Amino acid sequence: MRRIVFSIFVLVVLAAFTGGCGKTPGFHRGDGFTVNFPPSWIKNKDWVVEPRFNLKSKFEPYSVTYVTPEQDPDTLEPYASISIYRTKPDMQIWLEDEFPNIVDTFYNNGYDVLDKGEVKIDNQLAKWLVYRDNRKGLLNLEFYIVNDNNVLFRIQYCARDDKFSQYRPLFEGVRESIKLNRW
Amino acid sequence: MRHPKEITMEYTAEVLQETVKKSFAQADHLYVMETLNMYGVEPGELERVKVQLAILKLCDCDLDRLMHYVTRAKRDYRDVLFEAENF
Repeated sequence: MRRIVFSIFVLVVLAAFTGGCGKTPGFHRGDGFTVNFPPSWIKNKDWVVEPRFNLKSKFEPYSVTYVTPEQDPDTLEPYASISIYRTKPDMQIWLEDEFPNIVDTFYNNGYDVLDKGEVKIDNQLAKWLVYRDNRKGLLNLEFYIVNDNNVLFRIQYCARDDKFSQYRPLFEGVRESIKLNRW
Repeated sequence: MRHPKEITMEYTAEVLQETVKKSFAQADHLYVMETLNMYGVEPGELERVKVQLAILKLCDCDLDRLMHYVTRAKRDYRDVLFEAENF
Protein backbone atom coordinates (compact mmCIF):
# COMPACT_ATOMS: atom_id res chain seq x y z
CA MET A 1 0.00 0.00 0.00
CA ARG A 2 2.78 2.39 0.99
CA ARG A 3 4.54 1.59 -2.27
CA ILE A 4 1.43 2.44 -4.31
CA VAL A 5 0.98 5.75 -2.48
CA PHE A 6 4.66 6.56 -3.09
CA SER A 7 4.33 5.67 -6.82
CA ILE A 8 1.31 7.96 -7.16
CA PHE A 9 3.22 10.73 -5.40
CA VAL A 10 6.16 10.33 -7.80
CA LEU A 11 3.81 10.43 -10.81
CA VAL A 12 2.08 13.57 -9.51
CA VAL A 13 5.43 15.31 -8.96
CA LEU A 14 6.63 14.27 -12.44
CA ALA A 15 3.40 15.51 -14.02
CA ALA A 16 3.75 18.83 -12.20
CA PHE A 17 7.26 19.31 -13.57
CA THR A 18 6.61 18.14 -17.10
CA GLY A 19 3.10 19.52 -17.51
CA GLY A 20 1.74 15.98 -17.90
CA CYS A 21 2.61 13.58 -20.70
CA GLY A 22 5.83 15.58 -21.18
CA LYS A 23 4.03 18.51 -22.81
CA THR A 24 4.06 21.92 -21.19
CA PRO A 25 0.76 23.79 -21.56
CA GLY A 26 1.15 26.60 -24.08
CA PHE A 27 4.35 25.16 -25.56
CA HIS A 28 4.26 25.32 -29.33
CA ARG A 29 6.74 23.95 -31.83
CA GLY A 30 6.34 25.78 -35.11
CA ASP A 31 8.31 25.53 -38.32
CA GLY A 32 11.68 26.97 -37.40
CA PHE A 33 10.96 28.03 -33.82
CA THR A 34 9.52 27.11 -30.44
CA VAL A 35 7.50 29.37 -28.17
CA ASN A 36 5.46 29.30 -24.98
CA PHE A 37 2.04 30.88 -25.31
CA PRO A 38 0.03 31.73 -22.17
CA PRO A 39 -1.35 28.36 -21.05
CA SER A 40 -4.95 29.55 -20.88
CA TRP A 41 -4.93 31.06 -24.38
CA ILE A 42 -6.60 29.26 -27.23
CA LYS A 43 -5.06 28.24 -30.54
CA ASN A 44 -7.16 29.67 -33.32
CA LYS A 45 -6.63 27.72 -36.52
CA ASP A 46 -8.91 29.94 -38.58
CA TRP A 47 -7.32 33.17 -37.50
CA VAL A 48 -4.50 33.75 -39.95
CA VAL A 49 -3.20 37.29 -39.74
CA GLU A 50 -1.88 37.90 -43.22
CA PRO A 51 0.98 40.37 -43.41
CA ARG A 52 0.39 43.64 -45.16
CA PHE A 53 3.28 43.13 -47.50
CA ASN A 54 3.65 40.94 -50.50
CA LEU A 55 6.82 38.88 -50.61
CA LYS A 56 6.55 36.08 -53.13
CA SER A 57 7.62 32.67 -51.91
CA LYS A 58 7.62 29.24 -53.45
CA PHE A 59 7.21 27.85 -49.91
CA GLU A 60 3.95 27.80 -48.02
CA PRO A 61 4.15 30.39 -45.23
CA TYR A 62 3.74 29.15 -41.67
CA SER A 63 1.44 30.90 -39.26
CA VAL A 64 0.13 30.29 -35.76
CA THR A 65 -2.22 32.41 -33.67
CA TYR A 66 -3.30 32.19 -30.06
CA VAL A 67 -6.10 34.32 -28.66
CA THR A 68 -7.36 35.23 -25.20
CA PRO A 69 -10.17 33.12 -23.83
CA GLU A 70 -11.85 36.39 -22.84
CA GLN A 71 -13.98 37.93 -25.55
CA ASP A 72 -15.91 41.07 -26.19
CA PRO A 73 -19.47 40.09 -25.21
CA ASP A 74 -20.95 42.03 -28.13
CA THR A 75 -18.65 41.15 -31.03
CA LEU A 76 -17.34 37.84 -29.63
CA GLU A 77 -13.88 38.94 -30.77
CA PRO A 78 -11.04 37.97 -28.41
CA TYR A 79 -9.52 40.85 -26.50
CA ALA A 80 -6.01 40.10 -27.71
CA SER A 81 -4.07 37.79 -29.99
CA ILE A 82 -0.48 36.78 -30.58
CA SER A 83 0.52 35.58 -33.99
CA ILE A 84 3.78 34.31 -35.44
CA TYR A 85 4.20 34.25 -39.19
CA ARG A 86 7.18 32.84 -41.06
CA THR A 87 7.98 32.94 -44.73
CA LYS A 88 10.99 32.53 -46.97
CA PRO A 89 10.89 35.12 -49.74
CA ASP A 90 12.21 34.00 -53.10
CA MET A 91 14.28 37.14 -53.38
CA GLN A 92 17.07 37.94 -50.96
CA ILE A 93 15.91 40.59 -48.49
CA TRP A 94 17.67 42.58 -45.81
CA LEU A 95 15.86 43.79 -42.72
CA GLU A 96 17.56 47.18 -42.91
CA ASP A 97 16.11 47.70 -46.40
CA GLU A 98 12.77 45.95 -45.96
CA PHE A 99 11.66 47.45 -42.67
CA PRO A 100 11.24 51.03 -43.95
CA ASN A 101 9.06 49.59 -46.76
CA ILE A 102 6.92 47.79 -44.18
CA VAL A 103 6.52 50.97 -42.13
CA ASP A 104 5.60 52.89 -45.29
CA THR A 105 2.95 50.30 -46.12
CA PHE A 106 1.23 51.02 -42.81
CA TYR A 107 1.42 54.78 -43.33
CA ASN A 108 0.06 54.44 -46.86
CA ASN A 109 -2.85 52.29 -45.70
CA GLY A 110 -4.03 54.83 -43.15
CA TYR A 111 -2.65 53.32 -39.95
CA ASP A 112 -1.13 55.53 -37.28
CA VAL A 113 2.45 54.42 -36.74
CA LEU A 114 3.12 55.45 -33.14
CA ASP A 115 6.67 54.28 -32.53
CA LYS A 116 9.38 52.00 -33.88
CA GLY A 117 12.77 50.69 -32.87
CA GLU A 118 14.92 47.60 -32.58
CA VAL A 119 15.59 44.91 -30.04
CA LYS A 120 17.04 41.40 -29.94
CA ILE A 121 14.89 38.29 -29.90
CA ASP A 122 16.81 35.13 -29.12
CA ASN A 123 20.00 37.03 -29.96
CA GLN A 124 18.70 37.96 -33.40
CA LEU A 125 18.16 41.57 -34.44
CA ALA A 126 14.46 42.42 -34.63
CA LYS A 127 12.85 45.65 -35.74
CA TRP A 128 9.52 46.61 -34.20
CA LEU A 129 6.73 49.07 -34.70
CA VAL A 130 3.53 49.98 -32.90
CA TYR A 131 0.57 51.14 -34.95
CA ARG A 132 -3.07 51.87 -34.37
CA ASP A 133 -5.86 50.55 -36.54
CA ASN A 134 -8.43 53.30 -36.01
CA ARG A 135 -11.12 51.52 -37.99
CA LYS A 136 -11.13 48.53 -35.67
CA GLY A 137 -9.89 50.25 -32.50
CA LEU A 138 -6.89 47.92 -32.29
CA LEU A 139 -3.30 48.48 -31.27
CA ASN A 140 -0.65 46.33 -32.88
CA LEU A 141 2.92 45.68 -31.87
CA GLU A 142 4.92 43.84 -34.52
CA PHE A 143 8.48 42.51 -34.59
CA TYR A 144 10.31 41.58 -37.77
CA ILE A 145 13.34 39.33 -38.08
CA VAL A 146 15.27 38.17 -41.14
CA ASN A 147 17.75 35.40 -40.40
CA ASP A 148 20.87 34.25 -42.27
CA ASN A 149 18.83 31.86 -44.43
CA ASN A 150 16.62 34.70 -45.70
CA VAL A 151 13.69 33.63 -43.55
CA LEU A 152 11.39 36.39 -42.38
CA PHE A 153 9.56 36.13 -39.06
CA ARG A 154 6.78 38.46 -37.99
CA ILE A 155 5.69 38.34 -34.36
CA GLN A 156 2.49 40.26 -33.79
CA TYR A 157 0.69 41.27 -30.64
CA CYS A 158 -2.75 42.74 -31.33
CA ALA A 159 -5.21 43.97 -28.73
CA ARG A 160 -8.15 46.24 -28.31
CA ASP A 161 -7.02 49.74 -27.43
CA ASP A 162 -8.30 49.47 -23.86
CA LYS A 163 -6.86 45.97 -23.32
CA PHE A 164 -3.40 46.48 -24.79
CA SER A 165 -1.65 47.25 -21.49
CA GLN A 166 -3.48 44.51 -19.63
CA TYR A 167 -2.20 41.68 -21.84
CA ARG A 168 1.15 43.25 -22.75
CA PRO A 169 3.10 41.52 -19.92
CA LEU A 170 1.83 38.15 -21.17
CA PHE A 171 2.99 39.01 -24.66
CA GLU A 172 6.42 40.00 -23.36
CA GLY A 173 6.67 36.58 -21.73
CA VAL A 174 5.85 34.98 -25.06
CA ARG A 175 8.41 37.10 -26.86
CA GLU A 176 11.14 36.16 -24.39
CA SER A 177 10.30 32.47 -24.76
CA ILE A 178 10.83 32.42 -28.54
CA LYS A 179 13.73 30.24 -29.63
CA LEU A 180 14.65 30.29 -33.29
CA ASN A 181 15.98 27.08 -34.80
CA ARG A 182 19.37 27.62 -36.32
CA TRP A 183 21.03 25.63 -39.02
CA MET B 1 14.45 17.96 -21.77
CA ARG B 2 17.06 19.83 -23.80
CA HIS B 3 15.90 22.82 -25.65
CA PRO B 4 16.72 22.74 -29.42
CA LYS B 5 18.80 25.86 -28.94
CA GLU B 6 21.11 23.95 -26.63
CA ILE B 7 21.80 21.33 -29.27
CA THR B 8 24.65 22.85 -31.17
CA MET B 9 26.12 21.38 -34.30
CA GLU B 10 29.69 21.93 -35.35
CA TYR B 11 29.95 22.27 -39.09
CA THR B 12 33.25 20.52 -39.62
CA ALA B 13 34.50 17.92 -42.08
CA GLU B 14 35.02 15.51 -39.16
CA VAL B 15 31.40 15.82 -38.06
CA LEU B 16 30.33 15.32 -41.67
CA GLN B 17 32.32 12.11 -42.03
CA GLU B 18 31.09 10.80 -38.69
CA THR B 19 27.48 11.52 -39.69
CA VAL B 20 27.94 9.68 -42.99
CA LYS B 21 29.44 6.70 -41.17
CA LYS B 22 26.56 6.58 -38.70
CA SER B 23 23.82 7.09 -41.27
CA PHE B 24 24.78 4.85 -44.18
CA ALA B 25 26.05 1.33 -44.76
CA GLN B 26 29.80 1.14 -45.24
CA ALA B 27 29.37 0.10 -48.87
CA ASP B 28 27.65 3.43 -49.55
CA HIS B 29 30.13 5.76 -47.79
CA LEU B 30 32.18 6.55 -50.88
CA TYR B 31 29.11 7.21 -53.03
CA VAL B 32 27.55 9.41 -50.33
CA MET B 33 30.71 11.49 -49.91
CA GLU B 34 31.13 11.85 -53.68
CA THR B 35 27.51 12.93 -54.02
CA LEU B 36 27.80 15.40 -51.15
CA ASN B 37 31.01 16.78 -52.60
CA MET B 38 29.17 17.73 -55.77
CA TYR B 39 27.97 20.66 -53.70
CA GLY B 40 30.43 23.45 -52.99
CA VAL B 41 32.50 23.32 -56.16
CA GLU B 42 30.82 26.12 -58.12
CA PRO B 43 31.10 29.81 -57.26
CA GLY B 44 28.12 30.81 -55.15
CA GLU B 45 27.81 27.38 -53.52
CA LEU B 46 28.61 28.72 -50.07
CA GLU B 47 28.78 27.25 -46.56
CA ARG B 48 29.82 23.89 -47.93
CA VAL B 49 29.95 21.66 -44.85
CA LYS B 50 26.95 23.32 -43.23
CA VAL B 51 24.86 22.66 -46.34
CA GLN B 52 26.19 19.11 -46.68
CA LEU B 53 25.14 18.38 -43.10
CA ALA B 54 21.72 19.87 -43.79
CA ILE B 55 21.43 17.57 -46.83
CA LEU B 56 22.28 14.57 -44.66
CA LYS B 57 19.62 15.58 -42.17
CA LEU B 58 16.96 16.04 -44.82
CA CYS B 59 17.72 12.94 -46.90
CA ASP B 60 17.05 10.71 -43.90
CA CYS B 61 19.50 7.99 -45.01
CA ASP B 62 17.85 7.65 -48.42
CA LEU B 63 20.23 7.73 -51.40
CA ASP B 64 17.60 9.04 -53.83
CA ARG B 65 16.72 11.87 -51.48
CA LEU B 66 20.42 12.57 -51.05
CA MET B 67 20.80 13.32 -54.75
CA HIS B 68 17.54 15.28 -54.72
CA TYR B 69 18.76 17.62 -51.98
CA VAL B 70 22.22 18.00 -53.50
CA THR B 71 20.55 19.12 -56.72
CA ARG B 72 18.35 21.54 -54.80
CA ALA B 73 21.32 22.93 -52.88
CA LYS B 74 23.17 23.56 -56.13
CA ARG B 75 20.14 25.56 -57.30
CA ASP B 76 19.78 27.54 -54.04
CA TYR B 77 21.57 26.34 -50.93
CA ARG B 78 19.45 28.57 -48.67
CA ASP B 79 16.35 26.53 -49.54
CA VAL B 80 18.04 23.47 -48.09
CA LEU B 81 19.17 25.35 -44.97
CA PHE B 82 15.62 26.68 -44.61
CA GLU B 83 14.16 23.18 -44.70
CA ALA B 84 16.74 21.88 -42.25
CA GLU B 85 15.71 24.71 -39.92
CA ASN B 86 12.13 23.45 -39.87
CA PHE B 87 12.93 20.41 -37.78
